[in-house]
Amino acid sequence: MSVTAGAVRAVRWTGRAYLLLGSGSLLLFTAVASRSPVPLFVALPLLLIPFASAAFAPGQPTAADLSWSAAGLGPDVDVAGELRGPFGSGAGNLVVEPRPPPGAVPTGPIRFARAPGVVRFWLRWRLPEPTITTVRPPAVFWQDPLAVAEVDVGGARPALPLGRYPAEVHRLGAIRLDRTIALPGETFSRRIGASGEFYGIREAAPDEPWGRINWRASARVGRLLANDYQVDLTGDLLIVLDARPGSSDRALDARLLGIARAGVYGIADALFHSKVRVAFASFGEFLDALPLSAGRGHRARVLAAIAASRLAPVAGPAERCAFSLKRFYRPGLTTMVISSWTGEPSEELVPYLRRQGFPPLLISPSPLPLLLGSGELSPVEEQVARRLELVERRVRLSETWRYAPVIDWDDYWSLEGLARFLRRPSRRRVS
Amino acid sequence: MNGPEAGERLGGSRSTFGVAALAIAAFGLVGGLPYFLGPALGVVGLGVAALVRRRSARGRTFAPMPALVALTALAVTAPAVASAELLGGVASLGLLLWMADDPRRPAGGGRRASLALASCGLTVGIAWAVLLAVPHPAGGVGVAGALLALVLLFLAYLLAREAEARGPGPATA
Repeated sequence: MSVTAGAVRAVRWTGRAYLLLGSGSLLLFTAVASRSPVPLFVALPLLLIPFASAAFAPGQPTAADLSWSAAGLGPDVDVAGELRGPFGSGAGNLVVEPRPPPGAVPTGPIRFARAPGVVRFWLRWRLPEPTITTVRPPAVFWQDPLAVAEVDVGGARPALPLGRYPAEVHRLGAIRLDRTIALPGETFSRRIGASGEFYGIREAAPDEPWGRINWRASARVGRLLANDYQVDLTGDLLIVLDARPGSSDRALDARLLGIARAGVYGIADALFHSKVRVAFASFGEFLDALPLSAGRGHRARVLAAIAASRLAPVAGPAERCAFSLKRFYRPGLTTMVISSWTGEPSEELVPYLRRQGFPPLLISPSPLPLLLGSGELSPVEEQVARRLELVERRVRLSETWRYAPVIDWDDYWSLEGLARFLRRPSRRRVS
Repeated sequence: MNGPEAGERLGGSRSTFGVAALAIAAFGLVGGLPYFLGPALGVVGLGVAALVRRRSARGRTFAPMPALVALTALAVTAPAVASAELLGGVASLGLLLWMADDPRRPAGGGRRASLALASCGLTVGIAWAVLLAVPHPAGGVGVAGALLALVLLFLAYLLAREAEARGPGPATA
């Protein structure tokens, strides 16, 4: 996503230019009407300055290449960026207008450090909830000191991928999941291969890649020896993201899906790091599935698919999801379902998965923190409403416990419930 | 200025406000309003504009409006004498100088805008000199209006030529 340098650069007038031109015109009219030259002299600079600023201001840059990165933990996002280009004195008139991701709140003013040919900037945002998104590059334009004329500045503008999810997911990698596919006759033929941890040394094949030759060992024994690696598969996991609209409020559903997407992204990323085989499926109206696998390429595919998940226009029936999963994956695979659980269609998903042979675990981002605090109710009423909503949700979730363990995710910046559940298998109350 | 602590010195110095206030006050003194109402009106207008610009990041585009209103009121009531004409132009230039020194932008805005301001000042000076040479007030308005139209046309021509000359291509800072 970049804009190449050299686009046609047209001068754009700002609102202030129109204000000055309007005031000048009014004074001009007054001068002619009253036959007095005084308003005319006041009007002269106001009418001329927009044109003079655009024509005579020095150092208008034509290109500025952006490089930027995001740091920080949890909801805090610290962005540092740098604009480089063939502009000298024009750096002082370069304006950078950041475009924060939806919901992000700036927690401080944007700071700049300018030097000939380079403009550095720092800004800080606070995210309301876990987010996986791509931040649009900031608008960069030249603006004269009087802020009456602007010129767009071209150059490379990469988008900034931004991922913020609960910190607990980083600890999921230390938890060994159950090996779920242990069907009779199944063998892990690919366990020893070209990737993973070092396993042993063997005679090199004639077409052995040079990268796998152990040169020190070969030098010692006088013939070519190659390394073997063992892929340490600690478990298999199917992650199902419920991308169906669950309530009548589509904005709320989209926001909940965004939170679920961030959670899934973090969980999948952590599990890939611990060499777990991960499959991903997104169910909206129909099922989009990626196979069960490990490795860097598959990780990139899965994470891209998670980031690209969007709310479906129509909710597909739960049985369609369960039957479709059976076509793609073997039954018995541990299934982690992320669903907001706000409406009837979601409630049927877990029983259907169970019936088709997929032992599910449900993580449900709660809509309550998003629903409350709208300001329509008094604090007391708000508290009562919160308690009633909580009781209703707990009742609905308790019914699901008959089929699967449920993790109520109401604190969006913490997945401690999931980590605790996975650390203490004795508490797994799967019926 | 390498670390995230580094920041730039922002504009908005008191000296430009003082220059603008002085110019507007002088214009108010020679204006038609009784007592010190003229200077007070001008300075209050500029003060309100400065307050709006400092307080509101969004409203700063239209922050000069109170000062412009005050300046218009002074211009309408001013008598048609040579000193009022000259001071009117100077007050208008002072306001523009104050606008160039925005507190939310890098310091030295007035210096960077000096060429544009100088060109406006030159036009005001030429117009005033021409007006002095032509004794009849109505004739003066005509000459100044024609001069204004000529300058506008010249600037539009300059702008179009420069945009055409730059076209797509590398920057020349």
